[in-house]
Parts: sequence; C-alpha cells; structure tokens
Amino acid sequence: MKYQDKYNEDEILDQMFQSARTEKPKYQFSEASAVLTRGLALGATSAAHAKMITSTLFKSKFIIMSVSATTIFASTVLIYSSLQGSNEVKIKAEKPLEENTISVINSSEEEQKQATDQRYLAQFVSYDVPEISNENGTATNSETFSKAIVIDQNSRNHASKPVDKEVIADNEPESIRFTITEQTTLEELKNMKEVAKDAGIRLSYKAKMRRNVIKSLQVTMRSEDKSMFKRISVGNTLRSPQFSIDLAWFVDENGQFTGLDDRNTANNHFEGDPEKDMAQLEDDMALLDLEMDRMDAEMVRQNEIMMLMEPKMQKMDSLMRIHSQLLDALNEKLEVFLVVSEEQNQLLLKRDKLDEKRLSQIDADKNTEKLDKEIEQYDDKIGGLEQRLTRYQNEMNPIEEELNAIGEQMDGVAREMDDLDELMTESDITMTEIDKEISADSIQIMRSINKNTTVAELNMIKEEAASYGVNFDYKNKGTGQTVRLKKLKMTLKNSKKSQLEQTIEGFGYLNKYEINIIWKLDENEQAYGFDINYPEMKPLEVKPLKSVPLENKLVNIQENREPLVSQKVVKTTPVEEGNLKRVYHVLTSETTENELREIQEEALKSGIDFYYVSKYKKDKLVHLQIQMKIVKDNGTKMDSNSFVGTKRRGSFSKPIIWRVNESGQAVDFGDPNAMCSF
Amino acid sequence: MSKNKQQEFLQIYEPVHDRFERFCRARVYGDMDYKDLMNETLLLAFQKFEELRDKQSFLSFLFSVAVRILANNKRKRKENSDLFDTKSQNYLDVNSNTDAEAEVFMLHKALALLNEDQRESVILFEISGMSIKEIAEIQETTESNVKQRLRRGRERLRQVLSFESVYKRGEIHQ
Repeated sequence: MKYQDKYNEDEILDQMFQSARTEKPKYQFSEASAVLTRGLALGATSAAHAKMITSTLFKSKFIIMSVSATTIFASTVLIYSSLQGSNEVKIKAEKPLEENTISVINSSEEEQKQATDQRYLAQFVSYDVPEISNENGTATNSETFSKAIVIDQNSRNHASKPVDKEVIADNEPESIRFTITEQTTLEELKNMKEVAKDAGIRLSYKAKMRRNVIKSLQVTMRSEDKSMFKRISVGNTLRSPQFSIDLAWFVDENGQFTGLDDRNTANNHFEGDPEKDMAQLEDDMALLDLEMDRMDAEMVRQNEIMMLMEPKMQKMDSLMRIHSQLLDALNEKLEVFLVVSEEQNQLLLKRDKLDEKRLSQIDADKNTEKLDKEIEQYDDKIGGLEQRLTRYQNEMNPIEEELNAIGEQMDGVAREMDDLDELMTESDITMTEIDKEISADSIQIMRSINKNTTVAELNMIKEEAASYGVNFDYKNKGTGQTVRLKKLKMTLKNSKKSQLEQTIEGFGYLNKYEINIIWKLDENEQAYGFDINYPEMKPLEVKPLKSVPLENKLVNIQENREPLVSQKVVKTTPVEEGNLKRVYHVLTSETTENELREIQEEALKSGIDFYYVSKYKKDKLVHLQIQMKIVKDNGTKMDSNSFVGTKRRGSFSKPIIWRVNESGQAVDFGDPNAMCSF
Repeated sequence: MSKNKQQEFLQIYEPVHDRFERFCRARVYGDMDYKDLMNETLLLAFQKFEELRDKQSFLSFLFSVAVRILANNKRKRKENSDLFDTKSQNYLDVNSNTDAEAEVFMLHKALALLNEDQRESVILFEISGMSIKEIAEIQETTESNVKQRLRRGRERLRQVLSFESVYKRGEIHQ
C-alpha cells in the first residue's frame, strides 16, 4: 500500500483532497431535483390533508374519536403482529369492523395486549356502561370488556315511545320501566327512587332544574348485592335541551330486582332540532362511511401484504430450519474436526520428538566420522613426525660429535680467559696507580660551609661551582644573613650526558656542623668530580641519577663513599661528643611499624620512657604521636611530647635524637620541635 | 409563482450540486445518509429561498442550512440520547473500486475521526473550496478559530492517515 512508502505526508494529504475535490458525484442532480419536487408536492398534500382533518374534527368529535381509536387499534395490532414474527395473527378485514373477530393464538402476553387495546377502546365507547361484576367496580376482566366493545346497532334502532311506567308481563319476566324527560319533576324522580328501593335498587340522582326544566341530570342505579351498576348523565353540553331516558329492570314474583331491562334503554337519546340533527348525522355518517371505506381499503391492502408475506415467512421458516440443521451438522463436524486436530497435534509432537532424536543421532554420527577422520589425520601426522624424528636423530649424531669437539675447544678458551683475567687484575692495579698519579696531579678545591657562613658567601660558592661546571643548589631556612641550610644539592653533568648528583639534607636541626665541598678539576679547570664531606654527620642521601659511571675516576670516588642508607629510617652510629654518644633516627611516612618498635626498644634500653601512637593508611604513616621521658640521676625530669600528621603536609620527616653516656644510659634528648620537612 | 420559484431554485442549484454533494458526503460519513441531509437541506433552503439576497452566495447559503440542520440533529440526539439507540451507522461505499475512490473513501473515513467543527472546516476549505472568511460566516465563528481548526484538523488527519495508525486500526493486512 502506498502509505508504506510515503515520506511526505502533506503531499499525500493534498493528493487525497484533490481526489475528493474532483470526484464524480454519486447522487446526481436529476435525482436530487426529483426528490425536491416530490417533497414539495407531498408537503402541499399533507397540508391540505391536515386542514380537512381539522375541520372534520370540529364537526364530529365522537366519530373522529371512534375512527381514530379503531385505526390506532388496527395499526397497533398490525405493528404488534409485525414485531412478533412467529406468532400467528389473522385479521379478517372483509367484514365490517364491528363484526371483526380477532383471534390471537398466543400466550397470556397476547391476551394482556388485547385487553390493553380493548381498555383503550373502552374509554372512547363509554356510551354503554358495562356491568361490573367485582366489588371495586374496576374493569380488569377481559370478558367484561369484550362485552363492552360490542355495540349492538339494532338496539339503537329500536326506538320505543316514551312511557312513564310500563310493566311488561308476557312470557318474559316482569319489567318495570320509567321514562325521564326534561319535563320530569322532582316528585316523579322521588317516586322512581322509592319504586326502585322497593325492588332492591339504590337509585340516586342529581338534577339541576331551571324553570321547572331539567338542565342536567345524573342518575345512578346500584343493586343491593352490588351486582349491577348503571349511571346515566345528561349535561348542559348537549346541543339539544330535550332528552329522554329509559330506566327499566326486571323483577321477580316478589317484586325484587333480577336484572336490567336493556331492550329499550338504548332509546335513551337527546333530542334537539330533528332536522338539524338528522342533517348532522347524515354528514357524520357520510364521513364515517368514507373513513370506513378508506379503512377497508387499507385493511385489504394489509391483508394482501400479509398474504404476500406468508409464503416468504414460510420460506424463511424453512430456511431457518435448514440453517439450524446445517448449524447442527457444522457443530458435529467441528467437534470431529477438533478431535482430529488434537490427534494430529499429538502426532505432530511425536514426529517433532522423533525428528529431534534423528537429528541428534545424525549429529552424533557426523561427530564420530569427524573424529575418525581426525584420528586418521593425527596418525598420519604421527607417522610423519616419527619419520622426521628419525631423520633429526640421524642429523643430530654428527652435530653431537661437533659439539663435543666445540666443548673441548671451549675448555681451552676458558683456560685462556683465566689467564687473561689474571692479566687484567694486574692491569687494574696498574690503572689504580695511574689514577693515584692523576689525582695527585689534579687540582682539588675545597670550600667549607658552617652555621657562620653567610648567604652572600654561599652565593659566591654557588657562582664558583658554576664556573667549574657544577650546579650548586641549596635551600635555606629563614631570610637572615646567617646560613641555616636545609638542603644542599650538587650536580655535575659530564660530556657523555651522564650525571653525578649528591644531596645532603636533614642537618638543619644540628647545633654544630661543617660541610666541606671538594671540587676535582682537570687541567682545563673544569670539574670532573666532586665530593661533600660532612664531618658531623654522614650524608643522608647520595643518589646518582644515572649511575653508570664511565670514567674510572668517578667509579673510584663512589667506591670510596660510605654505603647508602635506607631512606625510610636513617640511622647513624653513635658519634662521640666528648664522652657522650649521640643517637638519632629520622622518621618519615615510609617508616614501618617494625622500625618504630625497634626505635622504641632502643630508647627503652637507653632508659627513655618512649611511647608512640601510630596510624597507617595504605602502608604509609599518616599519624604519629611520640612521648619521651627521662629521669636524670640528679632527680631532674625531662619530657617531650610531639605529634605529626600528614593531613596537610602529605609527607613528613621527623628526627629523634638522644645522647647516651658510657654506660649507654640516655642523658638528654634533642629538641623535639626541631622538625624538618621538605 | 411556486413553479417559477422552483425552477429558479433548481437553476441556481444545478451548478453547485457537485460541490454540495461532496460536502454532504464527506461531512456525514458514517453518521447518516448524506442523501437525507441533502434532501432536507434543499427543502429547507427552498422554503427560505426568498430570504436569500445575493444569489451568488447560494452555495454558502446551502452550507449554512446544512450545518444548522446537523447542529439541530445533534442537539436532538443529545436530548433524546436515553430514548434512542445512539449506535452510529456505517454507510460503507461498496463501489469504491478505483484507486481514486479508495483514496477518497480513506479520506472520508479519516475525516470522520475528527471532531465536528474541525471536520466541517477542513471539508469546507479543502474539498468545497470555501475561503476562511466564508467558513467563519457559515460556522458563525471567528476567522482565527477557523484557521486553528484547519491546522489542528490537518495535523490530526496526518496522524490518522500515517501508515502506523492505519496499520493499527487493522485496515492494512499486508
């Protein structure tokens, strides 16, 4: 589909709109105009029809109501029958409506529906009040209403002459009859009431008189056992002031009420102007006839439709039956299909397992074949190797012989080498002697530095060293004129880019010191070597950066030097100071726990109470607290408490010094605060 | 008199019939039969034909009537929503054979997913070719509102007609 490839949605959208704009109409103009014309025509017809109905409505309420009721009832039944597809509803429309028999073959729901329809009708056909059999007088029994809707037209036509009181006693039961007209007086009504009371009827009336003429009247008759109820009303709404009402009932031998005499009660009518009434009635009847004709035609059409529908319905029923049969068959087949498919699934599963097994078997076979091939290949290789081994062995034999010969030659060479060594030793001795001669010939310049040396003097020494090609560097403490050296460093670079470097540090705490600097100069007054002598203390660090001395002179100088001391713990042998010996240690961040313990033991041996607290982090001493105490022979005490940490400094260098007498007991210890750090 | 009026009406209506038909078809797709809307609109327009001052704006007049009819229907539907089944009817165009027709069918379907104002604006603008000012008059709103509806409607259409959304709705199976 094109949407898969689209990248510019806007273009596609525009294209779609373009298609929509140019599309041919499906509803043509001719159709639309025809519909419009028809609609307009219908609108005019319906307007005229509405006018006619309105006028008719004004002419005769009753007839229209009856007709409407009948129409509504018929249409209701039709709609109902159309809604109930399978229910059998037959309407015989050929006969007049009054004689129509509506046979509804259905459940009680149908009967209820019919009763509802009849009740609906009954409210319009309340002219004949039915006998109410139950006590409450409410109309719920369908039979009662079925009586009510049957209008006996013949009874209307039996108009008898009005009589005041008539007792008919032929073969039939005795009947008592009163006729009430507009001229009937109240006394006559009272008499009627009494007669009725004698017969067991409770007769009540409400009458409005005007100029001795009854204008409105309501008569109610009710039997004692409440099996009969009848009410007749005559009101002012009547067009005609004249009326005639018959009240009649049958009595038994004892003069008691047995039933209403309805034979002539339909004569109850209200007379006005007979000619006008007749004309009106004829008009109404004509209208009714028209309506009836229309309804007949409608009913016939509906019957025809029903007739047409019947075979279709039957066909539909048969189709439905076939459909249900097919559905059943389909269900059965589906069940069978499901069972078969399940079996098929199981078989497929089994087949899959077998396939897997077969594949694994095939793989195993393939592996075996491969291994066999590999073994064969290895066998071939082994054979080849064996052959090569044999060939090499054959080749090795003359080589071994040659080796033996070479070994013998090498022994001879070794012996020659020993002889040469001896010769070399001799030449070395000779060289040493020559060196001594050279050193005797060379110029040595010495400068001394002590605490009295000034900074200016030191700078002069520096300049002098520079003139000899020696780099002299120092670090001084403070800014005073007197030198307080912290570090001294001399560097000499020779022509072959090797370097001799000597550094002295850690003597700043001493009260007395003297450093002798010796430069060894060649004939060109350029230094080829130097030396630093420190009579009070051994040099702390002598570190040749590239300790590959090429010149014999330098080698000799280094050999003459004191052995290097560990950087972690600098320890010197006690130096005599009069009859006292001085012991000192320098503690750095590299000092280990064992070394500290050794120092402690040594101090304790010397009679010093030595305590320390140390803390290591990543094998480095980061925190150290030392407490030293001495009680002298004369009872005087000496103590010190020092602390050092590396939080700020990073590394440290802490000297510990004490002096011992001949018996090895500590006499005093140095200023603990004289701490050097670089 | 009435016949003359009818003739005049049809005479003016004939040239704009196609555009009016397209509008109605797109506007009520999936909601009701567009022919009903057309017939009802034409009847009502005929009754009020004498009120039309400028015959040139007959199409706008028709659109206005149709829009009002739809609005009234919508209001009535809302009022009687508990009495009537509000299930919408889908009038599928089974004759959509050619590509162009299929395209229009898709477009109508997508338009039906927009809200009514946006749908109306987009149809009037894109399909019926009305100007924004005319649409604003028909819809009884401001021109900026119409522009906003057009922009949003077009955006929504773009989303709806993108492949992913069409695929998600299950209209593409390949």
